[in-house]
Amino acid sequence: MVKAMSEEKKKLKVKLKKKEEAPSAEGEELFKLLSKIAKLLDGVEGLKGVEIEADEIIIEGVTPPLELLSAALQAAPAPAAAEAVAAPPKPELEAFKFEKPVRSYVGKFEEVKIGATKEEGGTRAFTLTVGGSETPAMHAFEGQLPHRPVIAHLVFDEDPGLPETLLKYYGDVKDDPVAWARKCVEEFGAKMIFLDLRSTDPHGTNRSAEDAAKTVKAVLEAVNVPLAVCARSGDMKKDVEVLKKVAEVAAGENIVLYCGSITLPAILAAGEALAEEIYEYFRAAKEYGHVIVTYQPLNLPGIAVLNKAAMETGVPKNKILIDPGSVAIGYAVEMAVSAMDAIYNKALIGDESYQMPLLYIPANAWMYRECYDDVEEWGDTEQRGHAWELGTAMAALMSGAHLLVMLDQYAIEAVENFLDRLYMPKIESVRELLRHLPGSNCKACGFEMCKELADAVLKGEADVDKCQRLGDAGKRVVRRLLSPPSPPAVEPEEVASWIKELP
Amino acid sequence: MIRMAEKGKEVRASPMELMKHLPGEDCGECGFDTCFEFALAIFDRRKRYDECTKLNDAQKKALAKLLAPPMREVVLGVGEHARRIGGEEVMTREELGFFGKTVIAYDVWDTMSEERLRDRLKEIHEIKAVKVKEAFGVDAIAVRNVSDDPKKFKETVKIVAEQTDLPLILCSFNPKALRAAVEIVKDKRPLLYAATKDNWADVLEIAKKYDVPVAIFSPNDLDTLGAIAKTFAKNGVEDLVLDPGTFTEPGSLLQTFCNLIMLRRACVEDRVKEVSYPTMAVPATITTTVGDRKKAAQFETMLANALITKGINLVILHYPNTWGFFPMVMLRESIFKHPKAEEKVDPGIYEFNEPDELSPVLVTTNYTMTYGVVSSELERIKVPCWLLVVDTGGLSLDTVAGTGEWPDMLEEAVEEFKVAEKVKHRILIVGQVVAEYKEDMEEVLPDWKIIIGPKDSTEIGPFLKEKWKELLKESGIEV
Repeated sequence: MVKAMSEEKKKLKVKLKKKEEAPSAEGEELFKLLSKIAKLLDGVEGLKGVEIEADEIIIEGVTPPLELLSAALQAAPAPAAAEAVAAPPKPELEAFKFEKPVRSYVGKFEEVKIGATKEEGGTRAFTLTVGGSETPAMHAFEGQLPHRPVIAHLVFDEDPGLPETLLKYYGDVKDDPVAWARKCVEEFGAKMIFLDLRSTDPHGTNRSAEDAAKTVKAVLEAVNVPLAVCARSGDMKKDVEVLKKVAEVAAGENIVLYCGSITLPAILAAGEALAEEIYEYFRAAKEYGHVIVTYQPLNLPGIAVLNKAAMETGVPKNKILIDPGSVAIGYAVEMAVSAMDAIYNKALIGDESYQMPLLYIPANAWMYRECYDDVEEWGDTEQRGHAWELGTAMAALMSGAHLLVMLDQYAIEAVENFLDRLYMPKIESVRELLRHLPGSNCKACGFEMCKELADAVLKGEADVDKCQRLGDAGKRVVRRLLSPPSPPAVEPEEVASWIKELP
Repeated sequence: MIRMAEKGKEVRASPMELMKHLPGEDCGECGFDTCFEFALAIFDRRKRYDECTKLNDAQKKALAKLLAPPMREVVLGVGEHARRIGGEEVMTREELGFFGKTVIAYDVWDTMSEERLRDRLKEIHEIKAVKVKEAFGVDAIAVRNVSDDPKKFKETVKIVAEQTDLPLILCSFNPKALRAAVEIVKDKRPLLYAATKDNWADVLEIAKKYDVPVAIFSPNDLDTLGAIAKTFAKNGVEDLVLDPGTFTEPGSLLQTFCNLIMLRRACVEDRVKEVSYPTMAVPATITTTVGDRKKAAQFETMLANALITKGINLVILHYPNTWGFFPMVMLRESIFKHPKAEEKVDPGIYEFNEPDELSPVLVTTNYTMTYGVVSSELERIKVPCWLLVVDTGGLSLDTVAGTGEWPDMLEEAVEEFKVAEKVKHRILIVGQVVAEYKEDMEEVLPDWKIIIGPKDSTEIGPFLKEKWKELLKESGIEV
């Protein structure tokens, strides 16, 4: 069919409908004519929007003599002939089926349990399990996600010289590890505490192993979440002495004992024994039932050596974590990423020396001035600090870290929010809901603080619609987390509108 | 490498095969002594083959073919600000490296007043991340067609093009708007964003006419994404970028990562040519879920960092700021650094914790691993000191110790970096692995006393705290 129609003012559309017949001579004549018209129109300055689209001609910006054109077309050859000339044809969409590139993996990561409840011989309110990956990180299209990564909140047993940004959270507790741990659990919702016994450093305050053990005991009494205890003075002898004492006082609690100063000889001959302290560390964990961490920064063979030695000493494979070297962005983070990639590659093809879950300490970012120094050309100091630890945590998570040790509460909340979006837990506490609200306390909802709105929403007394700042997408996030899973999880229109609708 | 089910995986050309297409004159102009070393370098992509100046056309063609990565390389923009993305070959950087460095773009839109537009452009251009010697700026500008009005879009693009030389991304699903805008910047290789299941035929025409790269946007539908890409390629438009959608909500965020990972694996491992193009995402979409500006800015930075870790080639962001751009660029520069190139640090004398003329001088090599470990330890212990990084060609101290060349390398560094002008004392602290060369070192550096330091970097702090004053005193300097 040939149709001439004026869709609106100043617009003419000529449409040639296609048919599966060979073009006729008359049809070709008409086609040539139309092409000529198109070419002529193209050359006219001031005429805009002339489109020849394979089977149609659209002329915009002019008012054509519709009657004349209509008459002209009436006089055209028989419809059947015209139909056939719609060449060159508009391209057809090619057929394509995406085949999911799924692999099978023979190996998987261990699941490591941390903490022990009363029934299990400890005093923790609950236990945590990390690890269990059976695919590379985020490969949910070919296997289950591992256990939700745990964030352990870092607590120091003496003030490490906290920068301004962190004093906001810990200023009132920085000299009291018990109060600090309690604040993390009660106020910041910590599910795990990572206690760094920095005061035992022989080149610093040099507190004794006995004193350190007392602190650990007090922290265990003050909070009921699973615990990790760390000694990383750089003095292996002292660190192991401290951790042995800690292992003893924490007997039955299934804590993580982190020794950050294990030194291996530069060249390890086959069958050569390691330093005696290393075995003492392993044996202490074994005897009192704790979890160890094999830490060798960016040194894969070293990690395997330690893992093997630990297992030979009798530490069960599911009581070992690996720290591949927790460096921050800007300080060889790419090597940590590669180390983790390599560990996954080995673990998933069945290499048992590397199948222990990965621990990463994004909090280490705060050792570097990029996190806290006021340098004008680096931008806002506080936001930069948050972003640095947060970015380091992202690099670790996307590389498959199972347990993160973090310090900045802002970054912790953001990572938990991110994990909520991945794991879709049902939100049941004010604290959890709060991290999905704007947090600006703008009062537009009628409540004084976001916290009060969260409380009302959880009690069913208010709807999240009351929030004036959250857009549709933000409200969807909250609704999905209040009653997950609320399908469909992926709606294309969620993102199709970004060009027009970014705030 | 995880290659449990290899299908149709093509094996990379070996250095020997590459060697056949090199001149074989060992002229040394490329910086390598022999053509074979150059062949090794182009094999693992530390160098590009066209860095050999003596190739004839046939050799160039042969090498281009042998070295073509599975993922197409696409150039955005022109001139010095042009960015080449894609060209990826592996899933994880430890297998070879990532190459199509993430282009970081910020947006402007066509419903802004001209004044605001100019201000925002200025703001975007002022963002800089400075790392030792290099300064990094924003890579590209995305112009959004919020108005849906082709005329308005065109005018906005005109202003933007006058204000910047950065590559542009023209964002509209309206072909009329894209056509109007591309006409203004047709010589600047803008990226058209985007061809979709609804507008692809029109966008294809535009891309063909103006020979510009196109992003294909097919949210969570990889069949259609591949179908459009296949259609474009068949019609001669092959500079494509794939956007499977950036979903950020509970449940859908994971799908975003999965889609990107699947596309990459289909390309680099399964060689599915229909989807062998660079990938992109729009972390800015997460800002719609947050409801607070500062939080939104943090969240898009967070998401961008997650995507950069996985090697994404292009991201579009909405909140320009230096505090977030800085770590993001540092992460990108790290992730896309060639794993073999990273074994070198610039030699020189580095300051830690504001040293003075009585501070100790520690010596290390320019092997990144050693430097990284030592420097982070020095940052941590907060003892003021100097770190002399000796040029060992990127080799570790252990390796160099075996060659016997260490004393001369050290002497050269002390001379070149004028260590004697930095400090009053004449003490150098070197690692234990070169202890056997103590006499040789003192022979080439007669003015200096060589002290053998600790074996492990974690012992540096204690060593300095305990020994330094004593050492100064021994050499006749009272503190």
